[in-house]
Amino acid sequence: MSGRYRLPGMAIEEPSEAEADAPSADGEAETAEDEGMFEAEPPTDGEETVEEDAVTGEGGAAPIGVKMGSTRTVLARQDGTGVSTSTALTCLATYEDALSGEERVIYGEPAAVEYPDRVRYMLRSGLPEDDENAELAGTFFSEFVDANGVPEDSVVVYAIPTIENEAGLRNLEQVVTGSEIGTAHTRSYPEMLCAAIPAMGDGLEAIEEIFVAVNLGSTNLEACAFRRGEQLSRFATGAVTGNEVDRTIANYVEDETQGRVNIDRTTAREYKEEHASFVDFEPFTDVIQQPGGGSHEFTIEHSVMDAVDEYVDHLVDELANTFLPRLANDYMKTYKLALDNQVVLTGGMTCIPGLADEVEERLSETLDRDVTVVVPDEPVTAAATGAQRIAARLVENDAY
Amino acid sequence: MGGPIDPIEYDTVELRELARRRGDRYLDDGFLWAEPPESLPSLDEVAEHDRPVAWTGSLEERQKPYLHGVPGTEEGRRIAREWVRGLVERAGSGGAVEALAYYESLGWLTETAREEVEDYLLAVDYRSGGSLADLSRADHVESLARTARLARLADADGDEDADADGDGPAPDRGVEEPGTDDPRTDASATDAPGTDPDGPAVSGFEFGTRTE
Repeated sequence: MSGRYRLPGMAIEEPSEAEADAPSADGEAETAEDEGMFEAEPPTDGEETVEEDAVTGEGGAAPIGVKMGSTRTVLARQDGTGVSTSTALTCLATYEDALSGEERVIYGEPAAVEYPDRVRYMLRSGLPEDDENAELAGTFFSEFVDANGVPEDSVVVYAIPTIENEAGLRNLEQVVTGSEIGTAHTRSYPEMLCAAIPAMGDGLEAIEEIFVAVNLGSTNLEACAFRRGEQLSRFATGAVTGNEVDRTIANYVEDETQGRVNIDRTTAREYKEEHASFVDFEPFTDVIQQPGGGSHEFTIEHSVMDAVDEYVDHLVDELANTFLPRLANDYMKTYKLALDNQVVLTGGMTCIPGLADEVEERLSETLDRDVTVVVPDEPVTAAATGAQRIAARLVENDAY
Repeated sequence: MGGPIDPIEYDTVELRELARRRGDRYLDDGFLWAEPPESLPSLDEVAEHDRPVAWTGSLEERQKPYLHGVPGTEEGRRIAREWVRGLVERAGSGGAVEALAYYESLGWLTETAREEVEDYLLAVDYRSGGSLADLSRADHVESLARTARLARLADADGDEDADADGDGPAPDRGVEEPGTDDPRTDASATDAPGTDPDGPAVSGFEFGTRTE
């Protein structure tokens, strides 16, 4: 067990005050950051290369895959014989240059760290909700692709959540069409399908499969069946989400510490990312500094895993009692074939070690039949990687 | 919606073509072929939509038993035969009989309907062993879907045979959701009953959130 110090967003309170106060929700940065998916590793902007049997785009447009997530945006591109991914927090801040007086833009992790008071997360619900956020998202995306040197002559495939949000899609389209990249071609496909592609093979095997995909997002739970690329029985609910887990953790921490510690949702999300595990969870300690000086150390034994455990129960309940009966009702043959195949879980919550096995066990028990659950090796970058494979095939087949 | 970035309205045929073709060759079972292999399903194949299982009728009109008899149409006979065959495959002939009796006890179908469905045991190979316990929750969901489909067919056709037990199905007979009196609807579901352009205008029945 190891301790650490934290200042922002955490306070030690007298029990009476703790009972009266809800977990802190002040500050745009804090609230907005809660909206995002999470990674097992600390969220740092970075680049990673994975060796793959990549299709070369020599002499043609560059194949690019993009996933613009509520918290992180991921770009996948060909890099030699492999595919490299770049990840950045989907946020933006502006500041005035001290020398020139000009307004400057900073995005990603540096924006969140250096300008926490003014950083903006523009895709809180997964899509830009209004013109202002669409403009911010456009600025962010331009900066992001510029920094990564993405060529304009490119075939870009976007992985997009299939939530019913006409205005949001229109705004996102504004971002996409305003971008300098993708002059050769742009396409978009469901995020769940893109993320399932690397989970089901080295190529585009997933497109020929019949399977159920479930996206465990921070703002939505999405599910559908894919039948040889055809999307069926789309289902989405905001009742079972990663954000709800964060809220529950915050409440449970308050209970577990008898009201002495009140954490915000950002801290709760960090607890989840760093400690939640169905494989090897261990109680952990944290230390907070008291306003009057000194510090208080506390240990969390149950709060994190109780919340995650409940999440899995609710997830299985939604799948077994709402989504799957609906799928059986709509497409009985597909339902039967899909349950014989793998159920693919995607989204940030799948980063929790052992979560897939836990869902598999409980879903099998609830359905009273064996179900196989898989997750992509790299849940955070899977959607962009899958989108890039589609883009690469578009280039290879000269189909754009 | 619609437009170049709408992830719902993507071109399935184009996507399949991308998955199957590499340059001027076709991928199948790990090999590249100069011609499209015949084993590949057609590019424009679409899933069989079973939405017609949705019932019509108001919530008040939904009542058990859901199925009063097997419709005398070819479609009705086919559904009943496939239903029985599926039950026999999973639970044996004895298990299929137990399952139908169980469904009758739940009020899904009348005694007459149960007997009519049982008659289709003669149309499938006998399989010894097995019991009701071999059937999973998913199997029962499937059975409920078939019950719903037959009942809907009976309603649509006004099949006289469906009333053979003399119970007299009410006009526009509907059902209550098994296990709950409050059929749930989910506004977030894009294919909720009543919103599907391919399906009938229905009053909100949605398939079982609970099955015994």
